Amino acid sequence: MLKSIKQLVKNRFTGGAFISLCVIAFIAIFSPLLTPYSPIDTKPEDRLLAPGHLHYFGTDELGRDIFSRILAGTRISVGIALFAILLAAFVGTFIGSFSGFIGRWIDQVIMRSTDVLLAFPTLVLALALSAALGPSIVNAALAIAIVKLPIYMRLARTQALSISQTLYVKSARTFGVKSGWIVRRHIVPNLLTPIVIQISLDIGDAILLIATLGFLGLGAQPPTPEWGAMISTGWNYLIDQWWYPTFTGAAIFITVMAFNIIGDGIRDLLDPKAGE
Amino acid sequence: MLRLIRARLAMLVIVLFGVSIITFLMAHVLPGDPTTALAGPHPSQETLNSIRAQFGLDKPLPAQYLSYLSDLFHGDLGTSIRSQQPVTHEMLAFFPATLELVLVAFIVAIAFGIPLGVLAAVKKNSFSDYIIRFFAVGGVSVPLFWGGLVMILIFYAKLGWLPSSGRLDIELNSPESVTGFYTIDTLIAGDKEAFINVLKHLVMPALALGYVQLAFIVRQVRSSMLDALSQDYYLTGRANGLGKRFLVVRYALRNALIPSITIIGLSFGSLLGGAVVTETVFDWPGMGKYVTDSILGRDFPAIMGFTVVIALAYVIINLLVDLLVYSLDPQTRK
Amino acid sequence: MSELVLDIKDLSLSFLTSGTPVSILKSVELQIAAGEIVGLVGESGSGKSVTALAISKLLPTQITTFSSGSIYFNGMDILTSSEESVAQLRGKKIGFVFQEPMTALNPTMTIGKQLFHVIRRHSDLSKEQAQAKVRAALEEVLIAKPEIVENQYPFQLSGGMRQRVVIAMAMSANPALLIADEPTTALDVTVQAEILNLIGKLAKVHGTAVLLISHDLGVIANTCSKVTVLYAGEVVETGKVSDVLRTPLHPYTQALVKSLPDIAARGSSLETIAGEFPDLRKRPEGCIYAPRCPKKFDKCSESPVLMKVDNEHSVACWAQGSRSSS
Repeated sequence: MLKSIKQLVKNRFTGGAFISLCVIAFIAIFSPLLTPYSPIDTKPEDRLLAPGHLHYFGTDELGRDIFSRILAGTRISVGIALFAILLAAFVGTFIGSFSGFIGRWIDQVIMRSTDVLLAFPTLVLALALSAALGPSIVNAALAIAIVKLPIYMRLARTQALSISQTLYVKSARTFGVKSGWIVRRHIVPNLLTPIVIQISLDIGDAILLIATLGFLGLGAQPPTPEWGAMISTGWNYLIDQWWYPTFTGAAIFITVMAFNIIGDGIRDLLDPKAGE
Repeated sequence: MLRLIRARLAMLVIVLFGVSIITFLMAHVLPGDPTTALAGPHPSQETLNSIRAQFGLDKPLPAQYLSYLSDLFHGDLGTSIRSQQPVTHEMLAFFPATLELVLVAFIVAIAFGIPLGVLAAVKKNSFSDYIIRFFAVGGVSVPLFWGGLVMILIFYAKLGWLPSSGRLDIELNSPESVTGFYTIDTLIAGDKEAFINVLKHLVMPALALGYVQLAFIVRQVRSSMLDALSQDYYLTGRANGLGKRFLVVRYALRNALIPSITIIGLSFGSLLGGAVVTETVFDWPGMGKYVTDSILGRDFPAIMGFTVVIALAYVIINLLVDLLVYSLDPQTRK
Repeated sequence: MSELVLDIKDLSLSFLTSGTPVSILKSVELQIAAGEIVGLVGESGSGKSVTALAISKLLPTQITTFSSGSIYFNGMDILTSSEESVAQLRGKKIGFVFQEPMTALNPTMTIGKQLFHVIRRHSDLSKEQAQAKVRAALEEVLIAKPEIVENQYPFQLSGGMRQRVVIAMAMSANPALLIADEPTTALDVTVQAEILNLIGKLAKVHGTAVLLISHDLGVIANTCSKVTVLYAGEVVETGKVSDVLRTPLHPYTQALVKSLPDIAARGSSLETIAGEFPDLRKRPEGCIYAPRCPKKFDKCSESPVLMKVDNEHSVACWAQGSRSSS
């Protein structure tokens, strides 16, 4: 573990991203202690102030400190993204490995349903799902989990198929070992590496999806300090109060980029064939 | 070749069938029932019932699904709640604008993405490789709406070079519709001023949308190229003294394209999704803008109609991509 | 003695792998005269392929460091020549045949096109003439129906056929030197003999010098006139094939010869070599083979140099060297 981190940091690219990620994690965990102002309470007399030493990134239309809201939003965006991806990975791996292991018509049905889910562009499906479920941040997270589900199902299935063809699993089967035990003992551990790689590549994308849903009015609802929703409101002040949406967007950009670079780094580390 | 097409068409039917089930479930079963959206606050039971009857929601679910499927089959996507117009008609009206935007963005992405990916791979770990990789990872990390926002701030608000919304200045008349593409229609009409105006409107949305796709293509092409460059046949080519340019293009790129095109085809979905955001940001009168307006207006038939159409388009694009890959790979061709 | 086509002198080089330099070759000597077929034998990792790639300057430049020596090809020093001038030699003066015929050809180009481009690159032939030359080249490597094969893709051919195509390409410009790196290792035994015969025949007809690399002393014995034995990047023995096989002097060569199935006496078990291949990140002091050598003595803590035993037979071993000086 420590050695892997060392290897990640050695590269200037991933090293920078690793430090940013540590800062982002720190902010996400300790944001209630770090915010100079309340991210929720309004203060109409301070509305739409320009950035200055009191409010680093200015204030919004209700007088809230944008810097504080961005810090508070870190926890929401990163937390929801992690939740959605882990949910998709957990459920997808479970269904996929059983599908591959059991085979027969169950496998056929499950695989055709992933085909159907993959027939929708990610964002469009997430959009339709959260519109159908009703706009809220939990529903947005569910929508993202569903959208990401088929990738994990397929990944797990492919691995499970090849592992269940190996000699040790075949012989375990002939000795009448229960399927559940084989899946837990042999298939899941072998799946970990590809799943971890996929998770690390997906988190950045999930953060982008949440922000996009929020921007389109489908994710978090006011007064939640969610980045996408903040930009959606800030859009109305784009020309005269440019700082309002701009700093918030920069926060998304930096966070997603840090996750993506680390994701690439983890992939190269665990699967040297894939990257370089 | 024919056999592949037939197999793929059979798949397509199954997938579209599944797509219809999913959109049906989203529209009719999930909690956000359209009746409540239509009836307004505190409706009487009577109002609710009459709306239910009007949309056939009082029938059992399987019957509802069958009539939904039969409508879809006849190209009927239902009636928009907001405009009371058939969704199919509205979608058709907005379709060319979206297609024009997506195609231009895609051409930009391909035209720059492939050469940059090749360059990064050939000059692996050089300064230019690092710059290209940074540029590419930025592209897959930038929120589209924020990219658009920054562009608007710079090129519209600050410099005043480019318009920030629409396809054409309001003072100018839209060209007579032949293809539905303003770039082509203005040319056909011979209206040079309108043509330039159309191009100016296209620049920012196409670049914002294209950048994401470009970044994706660069990453994919770079990685397949690195793979091809390390293959035995590339070394054989070098040992036989073939020229560098020839080797890179005909030996490495030619083979790297096969896996790349498959992935680039799949990424077309993100282009379609991205069009929703781009059109909202740049007020581009296409299907994406139509669907975000529908979301705000809780116009379920419109949202689901859009979803079905996009899924159909995406499935067809992937079929075409498969056929393209098929024709590029001699191993599957024979 | 006839003109030397290839003259490698005191060649030492190292690779940079994950930050540490690994010494791959140390003071390698190798000479090939025109028309001569020389074998280079050794186990995998002994530096055979690296030697071959170094001749054409095909090693990855970023990680390769040459620490000493020179490679003369027809009198031209390869290592100090520019990339452009060496590139002129590739395919024209130096032909290459690799181990894996399955992957050595471009999978998305027809056989005919691949040959065509190589031929056009090294000649002033018109398109029609080059096209005719493609036919002739395929015929020369005994491909039965060249007019069909030239329109086929590599995946449609068997391994032996592909290797013939690779040889046709390597020989198409009538090079002075053909380097064949394990050309038959990936092939069936019956096909192996055909390919070796083909290489031998072509070399004879065109007067081409050949460097034949193999881990299999049997292959070398049947094809070459001279052989150089490589162990861990060092030449341990070199000489005429007949001498080296009949009276191997180095303990490593002796072990190799004993492990040849048809030379080892019937009924006795084949011998294996005890011990492990050395770690080249820190090349040990003294004789490289000493840790595995049954005959080592005090002197072996010093590095032996190649010593002439008789006219063309040399060995790098203290045990033998003392005998020759007497």
